Amino acid sequence: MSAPRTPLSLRWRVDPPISLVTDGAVDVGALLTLDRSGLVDRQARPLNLVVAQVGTPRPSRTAELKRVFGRIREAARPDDRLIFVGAGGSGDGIEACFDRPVPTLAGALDAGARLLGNLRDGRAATRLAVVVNTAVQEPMQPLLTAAGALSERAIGVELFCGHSAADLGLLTRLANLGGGETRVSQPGRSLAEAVLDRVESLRDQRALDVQIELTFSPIVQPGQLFRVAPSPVFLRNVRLGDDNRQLTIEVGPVTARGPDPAFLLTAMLPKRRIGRYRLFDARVYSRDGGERPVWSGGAVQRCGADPSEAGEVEAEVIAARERVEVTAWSEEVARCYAEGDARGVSSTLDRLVRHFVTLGRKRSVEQVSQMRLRFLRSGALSRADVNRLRRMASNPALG
Amino acid sequence: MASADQTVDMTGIHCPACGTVTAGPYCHNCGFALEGRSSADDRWPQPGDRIDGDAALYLRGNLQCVGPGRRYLAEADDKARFEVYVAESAEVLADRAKAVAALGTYGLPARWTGRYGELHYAAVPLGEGTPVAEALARIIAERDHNEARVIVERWVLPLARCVADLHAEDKICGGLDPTEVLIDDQGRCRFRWPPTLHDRADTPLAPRRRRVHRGFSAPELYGRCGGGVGPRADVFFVGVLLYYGLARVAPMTEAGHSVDRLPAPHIYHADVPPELGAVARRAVSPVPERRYPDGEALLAALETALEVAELRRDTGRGPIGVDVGHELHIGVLKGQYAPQNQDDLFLAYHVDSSIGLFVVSDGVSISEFGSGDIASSCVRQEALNGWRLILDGHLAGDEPDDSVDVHDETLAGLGEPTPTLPLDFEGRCRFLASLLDQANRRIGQLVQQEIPHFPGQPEGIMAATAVTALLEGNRVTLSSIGDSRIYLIRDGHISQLSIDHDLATQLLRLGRPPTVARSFPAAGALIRCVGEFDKDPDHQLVPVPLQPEFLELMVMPGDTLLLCSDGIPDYGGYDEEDAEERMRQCVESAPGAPWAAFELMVLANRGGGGDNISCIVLRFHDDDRPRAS
Repeated sequence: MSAPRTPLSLRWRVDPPISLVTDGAVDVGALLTLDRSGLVDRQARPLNLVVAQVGTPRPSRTAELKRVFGRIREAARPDDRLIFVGAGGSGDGIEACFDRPVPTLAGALDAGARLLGNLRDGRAATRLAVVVNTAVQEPMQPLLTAAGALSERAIGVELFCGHSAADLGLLTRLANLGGGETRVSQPGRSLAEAVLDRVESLRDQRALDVQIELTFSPIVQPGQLFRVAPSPVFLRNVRLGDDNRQLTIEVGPVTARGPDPAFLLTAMLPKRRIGRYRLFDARVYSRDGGERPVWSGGAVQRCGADPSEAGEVEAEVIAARERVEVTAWSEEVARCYAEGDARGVSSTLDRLVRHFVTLGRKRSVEQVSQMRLRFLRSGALSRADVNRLRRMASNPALG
Repeated sequence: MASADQTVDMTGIHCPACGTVTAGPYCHNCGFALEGRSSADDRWPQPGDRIDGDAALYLRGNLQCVGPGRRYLAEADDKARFEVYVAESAEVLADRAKAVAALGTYGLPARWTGRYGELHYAAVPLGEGTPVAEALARIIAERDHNEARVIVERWVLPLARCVADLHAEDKICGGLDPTEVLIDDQGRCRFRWPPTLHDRADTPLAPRRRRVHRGFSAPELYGRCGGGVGPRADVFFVGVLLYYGLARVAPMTEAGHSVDRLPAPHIYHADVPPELGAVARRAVSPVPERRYPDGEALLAALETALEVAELRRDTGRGPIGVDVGHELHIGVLKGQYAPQNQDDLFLAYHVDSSIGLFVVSDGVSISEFGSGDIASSCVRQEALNGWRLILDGHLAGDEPDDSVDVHDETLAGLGEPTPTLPLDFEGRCRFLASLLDQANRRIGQLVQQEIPHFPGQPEGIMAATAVTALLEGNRVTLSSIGDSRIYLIRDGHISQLSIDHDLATQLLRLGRPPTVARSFPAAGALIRCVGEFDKDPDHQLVPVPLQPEFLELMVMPGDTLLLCSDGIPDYGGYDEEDAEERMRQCVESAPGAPWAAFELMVLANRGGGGDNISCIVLRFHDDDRPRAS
């Protein structure tokens, strides 16, 4: 008799797979991939979606968004609940959403929290989608607090950025808190189409509120956390205290389509003796599993003394790391610019150029080097430039 | 494999690591942990065992095995060397035989196969070949005893031919092991352990877990540069062997890095023909797209470079035509915040005697006493004085110069002074060194005139770099001090002839790894330049004898020499390698030297123009002047 199939499981690759005792501290990369093969037979979950708009979009975009929202409403299944928010927070139709857009993002988060709080249903996925048409000149901390509160109530935030000067870094942070995404228009793909793509994904969820919980041994010092798939995003710098060695990763919507969600974690390991070492214990939780993990396991790395063994590399991890580190550097450019560190901006842009060169991304090389040149000549870098960098970093298809 | 709690017989067993008969949990000889060694392990032969087949083979040691099974080095009674591959099934041996067959003449087929107990084995005669890793170790140990050209022909060319042949058949290796590639005295290349060949149509191969050979494997084999592996990974392997052979340095782990390229090989060893150095550098580019597309292209470039190097070595002194171009520009960005151009040039050419002096100097922009533009103008002034000495015939050598052609005699017949240069290399070096020393003294005098009692540190005095070319017919004597550059451009390749006198390069020459040298604090600081002084107790500046570097070269029609300040390579492209490639394209596509110089100036400005730009382009062609008779 075979064991019951686990709906979700985690597989990982660690680079270097074997470290040498003669090495000092070792920089380790772990690529974690959520295996969804156990979900294929599951039904898609109902979706409770609240849609809000912040600011008024350009007239040309308004028409397209209205059309898209109309299609979303038409495609809704009987057990889906779809609410469009107008100013004042009441649930209303598409017209109200456009005629009375919510003036601030904080207001949209607040309205979403109230409406979705009433709609909570254990079977359904609960998301708040906000189309942002302003530059979001709002205090950061209240927004983070509001998004954090939504995340704690298992309400994911999906943001669609329609303003070139909006702080894409902040929006990404807000969305990532609950496993959501921030999407922008891409060449050949308008913002309305991005909304449609995302809502279709949300409607296809097979497991809800999936979280990966990693518990590290005290010798492991995690560094940075990235999402690798479906699209590369720098999630955060990880700093764990001595008393709390846990890291929780919000996976976001788990659908049956597209690539398996994958994350990359960097960590430093101290010099060790020969032996096998557990890097972390991993547990996967989902709302269906209740308090118990749906899967658990642990990653091990060997420390050996034979240099010929240490010649092995996990090229897949290194390749993933190279792809996602660009996203951290684009955030570094934003940070340096905000702090007035011109040298930092210039050198990080230069680093980005060289990185794109090695990846063979010619268009990105050209664009970033032009940006660097403009910065060197005028000292100016707009928020739109930084957003462009972020988009380039997270979308390898941009070339 | 037995688990740790199984009972294991520890009495008198062969240590699998070193072959010693030992007992206890650890080998008393090498310390290998014997725990967990099961009776199943005893099925495998051990070093010292004898295997009987077509001949008796004595196992001498273990070899690293990448496939399923075990490998041993063995010797027959007649001392013939064999490799014995033992596997659990005949299918594994058949797979290996298939891989060997795919290699054609480059594989080492088994002479016979047989049974060893319940195991199967194949006996492979090794012949006389030497693994390239071993050959490289020998080259490095004898670094001053072998000519670069000989090393390349003996060790690199056979491998390049092998890779080119495989690529011509649309097969790629996708990672080679230097310990498994054998090259014999007849220049035949064989693979001791067959690499897995892939169809070229299946490339790029996706990143996966694989064994890499640090210092030899291309970045993409590690998963870098996108991680897609194709024929350029094989090109890298041949290129890196060429590189280490020319530089006579031990393999560097930086060879697998994706950002910084390996330093120019001539900074490690003086005997590196520029053509071969250029081929090596292109073949080991960290960016796969910048390498030769496949082994055939690399082989063609290598053979051409060898021919040119031989031709250059055998070329006697004679006339050659030269087309000269130059540019001096402040740099669009640099000019915004530093209105004074600190670069300077000197160029003079006496047509009838084919003698010329060309100097590019780049003033150091940060100085406490004086300024870079004054320092570089001192170099120019002294170049002018030196040129006057040449024109006045004050530099005549003691011996008759065989190379002096009919033009000199014609000039002499007119009763005018004949421009002359010292005959020997040392004399010309002395002349160039004195020219730079004079410039150094001039800088000191200028500072001392303003500040009779010099209060500060001599390092704060204005300074300049200088690259010079002293031309006589097809003979060029080059000198450099500082980080201005001299390049040779030919046949689609560009090679730097000068050595940067900065801290990073100095650390490299002292044997520090490239990553350490380049990340050293103030790695870009100049360690040699015109403007070096000591200070005596009376606060008087004492010029230090400068230590420029010299090189002599026989130029040939088709060569282009480029003397330039670092404003061009620093701003001409996305990185230094890209800039050099663009510089080469500018020079080779321009209809003449003046156009080339102009294009180079535009290139650096288009890339930002963050530094002053100066260059002299010398393009050599057949001497088509009508000869006096």
